[in-house]
Amino acid sequence: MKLNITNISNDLEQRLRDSVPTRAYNLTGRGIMWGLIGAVLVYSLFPLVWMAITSLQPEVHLFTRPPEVVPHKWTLEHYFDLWDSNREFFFYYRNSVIVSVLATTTTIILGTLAAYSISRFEYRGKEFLDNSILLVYMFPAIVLVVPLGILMNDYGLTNTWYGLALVYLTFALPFSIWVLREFFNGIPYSLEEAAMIDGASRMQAFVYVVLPNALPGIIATAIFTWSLAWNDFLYASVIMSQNNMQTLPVGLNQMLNSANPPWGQFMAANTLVTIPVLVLYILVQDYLVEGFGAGGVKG
Amino acid sequence: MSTIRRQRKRLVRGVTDRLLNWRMEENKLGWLLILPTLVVFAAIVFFPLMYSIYLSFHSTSGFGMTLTWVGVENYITLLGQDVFWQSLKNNVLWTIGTVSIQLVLGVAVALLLHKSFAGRNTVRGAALFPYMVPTIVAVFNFRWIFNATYGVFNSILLMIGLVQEPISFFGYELAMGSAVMLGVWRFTPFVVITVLARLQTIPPSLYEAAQLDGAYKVAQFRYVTLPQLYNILVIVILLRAVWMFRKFAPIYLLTGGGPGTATQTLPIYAYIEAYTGLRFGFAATIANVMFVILMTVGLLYLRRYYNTGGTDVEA
Repeated sequence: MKLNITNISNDLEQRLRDSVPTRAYNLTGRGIMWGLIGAVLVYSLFPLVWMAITSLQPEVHLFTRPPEVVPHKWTLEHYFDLWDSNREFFFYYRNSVIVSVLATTTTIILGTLAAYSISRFEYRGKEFLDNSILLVYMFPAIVLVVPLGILMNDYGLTNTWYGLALVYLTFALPFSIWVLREFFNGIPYSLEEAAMIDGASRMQAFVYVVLPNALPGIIATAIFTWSLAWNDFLYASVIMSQNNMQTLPVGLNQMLNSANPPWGQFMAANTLVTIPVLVLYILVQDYLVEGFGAGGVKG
Repeated sequence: MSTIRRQRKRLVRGVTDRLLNWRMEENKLGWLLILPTLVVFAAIVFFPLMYSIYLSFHSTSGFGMTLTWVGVENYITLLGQDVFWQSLKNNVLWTIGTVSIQLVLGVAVALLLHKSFAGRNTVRGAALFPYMVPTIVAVFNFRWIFNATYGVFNSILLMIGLVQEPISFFGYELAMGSAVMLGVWRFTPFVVITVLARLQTIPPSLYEAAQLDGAYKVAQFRYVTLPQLYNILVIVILLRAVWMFRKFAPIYLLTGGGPGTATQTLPIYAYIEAYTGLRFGFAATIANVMFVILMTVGLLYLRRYYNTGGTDVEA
């Protein structure tokens, strides 16, 4: 068969020309893209922006129609009201901080050790352990909450910070092990070997060589655990029955379900709950994305 | 000053070194490291799970927690109850509704954020933030925005004349729809970030080849992007289905399972039986039935994970 070179090159040229968009097309394309980006931003952020705006508007303006999207009067009165008339909010805040920190530290310590063990050592039953840990992460919390509520009560651990923190390990620990294991797998074994040839013990190699390299993963899991604990309603509502021991989600829910909710104050409370999350998020966003990529698992 | 600090640092380092400086057989050390986790799991996962099965064969009455053995009666009663089937139906509706919308929206947003434009990282950060917002905050904001009397959403609808009177978003007909909207808003970022991570690993040469073959945008998506995303999408669907199915707080805080049983899912059913009805045995029965359903899907996921060599979840 005779090859028609001119034809092929003509054809190719035509195709290439087709695939290069014209300038006008390009501009409409950009316009549509920016429109969509704007839509995504509004959709993602509007509820939060509206929350902040509501918390900064005088109460009377909250119920006007049409609503004032840009308030003409700003005020901090809702925040002061919260301090004056809903002081327990700050107790909830304290409890939430303590429980989240306890749960996070315990998870990181136990999680790094377990993940390191699964990642580096060979022993009988390891595969089974590994799979069970993933399956535990699939457990519905409601299965554990009823028996755990009764058992914690029997052990006298209800209404204590460490009792609730301990309960959070049920879902924080399997998740952390799963993510950290992936991180440890990504660190070459030769690094530890080199350290051990230089006379380090296994644990010295772990602490001085492996941990610093896994730092992004550790930070990501810490943030996840912290936010799981900061977020949880179900366990907290069962383990903490005393009002002064409750955490934010449970306490806030009680406040909202009162007869005539002062919306301004709630949005002030809401804003105060969101701020630490926002700050942490901005600080560690890059790590977080990396952590997501590695484990890809979180409820 | 700095010498003191250096000395202190050396001391700390010395003590840490001493503490870590012991040797042990490899496989024993492996066990030792995972032992604390196993002890914790035995105490707060395995034992409660067994206890839950034990509870489900008993009826509990009143505050005194007196257990009476009833065999499988709880399971028979449960399966014969309309409320159970209603809750299961709600549960499935909620799961299918949220997962399907999350998937479509998530892939669309991921494709958009995969393009290059100025300030892309900031936009990505903003689009992912709903995933980090505490549930209670998201729920409060929804209840405020969609409030029947003062909600801004109703005001806007009234203002542009789409409706004549405010819509009751948490009424019987719309409550489930509103719950699904909340679920979609909060959990779509998971799909976005997973798909985005995968998109970044598709070699550009595939697109160049497709372009030379005369494939336009739509065809490129159909024949290059979609097949490349296939594996990760299957995993995302499985994971999201499991996670949405077992969700409790978003719906419970939004509607309390009501009005009536309009949004009552299985976890809410179990919670109400346990903490309003104080029927712990029966609540455990509901939870165990859910557990079986979820473990079936969980095992499917595990099989999938290993069949694809585990690589896709990491992607």
